[in-house]
Amino acid sequence: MIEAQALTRRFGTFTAVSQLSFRVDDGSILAILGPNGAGKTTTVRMLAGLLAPSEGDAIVAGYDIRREPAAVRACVGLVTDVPGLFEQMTVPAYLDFFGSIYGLSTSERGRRIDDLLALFELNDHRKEKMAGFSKGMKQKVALARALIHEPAVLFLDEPTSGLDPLSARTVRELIVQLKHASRSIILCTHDLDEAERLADVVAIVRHGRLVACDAPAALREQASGEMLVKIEFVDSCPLPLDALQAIDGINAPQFQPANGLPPVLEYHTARPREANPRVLTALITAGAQIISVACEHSSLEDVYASVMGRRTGELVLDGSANGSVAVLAQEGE
Amino acid sequence: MNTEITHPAARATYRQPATLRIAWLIARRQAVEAMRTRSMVVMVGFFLALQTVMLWVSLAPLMQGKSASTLGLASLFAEFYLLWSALMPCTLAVGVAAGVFAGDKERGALAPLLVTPASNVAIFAGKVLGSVLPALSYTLLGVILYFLEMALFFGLDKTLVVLPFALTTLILVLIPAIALFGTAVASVISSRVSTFQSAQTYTSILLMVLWFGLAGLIFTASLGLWIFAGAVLAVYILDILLIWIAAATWRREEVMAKQ
Repeated sequence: MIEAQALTRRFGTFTAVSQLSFRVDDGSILAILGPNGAGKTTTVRMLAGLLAPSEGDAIVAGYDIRREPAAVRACVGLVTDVPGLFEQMTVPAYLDFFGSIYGLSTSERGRRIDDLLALFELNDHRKEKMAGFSKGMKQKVALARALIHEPAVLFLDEPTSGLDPLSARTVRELIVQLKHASRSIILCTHDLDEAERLADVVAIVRHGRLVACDAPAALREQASGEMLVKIEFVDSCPLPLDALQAIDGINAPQFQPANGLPPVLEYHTARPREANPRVLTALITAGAQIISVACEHSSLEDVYASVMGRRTGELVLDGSANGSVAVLAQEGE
Repeated sequence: MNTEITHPAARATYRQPATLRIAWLIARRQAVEAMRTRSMVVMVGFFLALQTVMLWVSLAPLMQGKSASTLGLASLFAEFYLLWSALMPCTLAVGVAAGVFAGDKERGALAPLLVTPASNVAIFAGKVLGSVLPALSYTLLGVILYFLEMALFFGLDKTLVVLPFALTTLILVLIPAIALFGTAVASVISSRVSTFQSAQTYTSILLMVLWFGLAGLIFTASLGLWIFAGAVLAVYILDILLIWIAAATWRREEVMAKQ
């Protein structure tokens, strides 16, 4: 479990992180999004016991980051976008080195190394020096290193950066497995799709401040307030746009061309429970043959752009939608 | 994905790993990697080959001389080549030491080490020791090769004539002190700068200072062996002080704050 309270870090007069508060329970993933320099890496470094906070505090895996940074470091694993390996070594020797530093016994190290090599499908490369590995393989080794001591908490700072799609997928699958193995995970990423797919909760930081924090779906819902509805037809829509615009509760109906198929009807609505039945009834009454109805909230990218476009203190979202991570303080407080 | 990940066995009580053991682990890994670096091996090989040629070409004619002045000159050359054979490989190791912190930091290889529970002292001492060990190993190799070549080319008797016991012993005692000083200062520089390039620049300046300092030390030998012995002892004391102060003041937080 990770619990941060008003975490702040200053470098001279520059405030890199300001008053960050959140909680990440076991078995959940918090994705931290934000532009370069937003304070993501500094936050991770504080939580990993590498940097002392200027103000505030945090408990990581039961240890206080101010008073027991060495104990915190013993319980966390860190993976950055750069694998940072000693490339003249073989994978088993490298993992054995870190296992020794974490104080694992010889038998424990042997067992963990075998497990991790199997997990990451690196058994065939046991005897090779890592200098010849691809970026994806190196990143797998970095993950294996972070897991050698079975940490309760994992910090993943852009772990799929620079990986090919297949390697990135492998890493994402592993992150999900780690979550199911009850680890608390903080994932810093620029990949909004990755954040949406993996995270239980997304925190958006800007200028070191938390500007939004909630479940991805809740963020999308709260930021937009409107739902986009798409209806596909077997033949053309029997109702003209004028008739659709007259239906109460729908906004901006339009027909979108669909590659040789009949145009798709799209509209926005803030009250889908009332508006959608009205639209469907009107269409079916007019003789429409409907293939599918799809409802979408705005994407996380829209939310991110919306949050980044606003000035500090304007957006405060409620973080109560997901029980695993709660916002304890918001920007401007 | 072949196997399931087990539930994290978070340790109920945390035990700080022993500082000396961790320092040795870090030092051993780094020393082995440095000594296996291809450029290092090639350059050491080159210097040792050059040493062989220089001994044969420049010392051989002098060693055949009978007069006291010729043997005196041979003795001077022999002492110089002893220093050369010991310190040239060491100079290369000083260059490698410049990268122990700054180079690892640039490659991203320092952060995984810093995020372990190893203490600041263990990491710093391990890194410095890891850069000193290759220097001393190559220095030892150079010195052994030098004596073997001298004995082989000119015979043991003549070798003992041109290398007076007391002075030679003091030079042999001085060499590790110089190697320790050079690599320790390079490691300290490397730990305090942000980039490998800065570390290399400062280390180049250090090497110049080192050679001038060495010339000064050798000069003290002409003032008397006791003065020279005192100077050698002073270098050792300086080494210990330098490493002790640097280890006591090095903080991983400062490294992370500079990134």
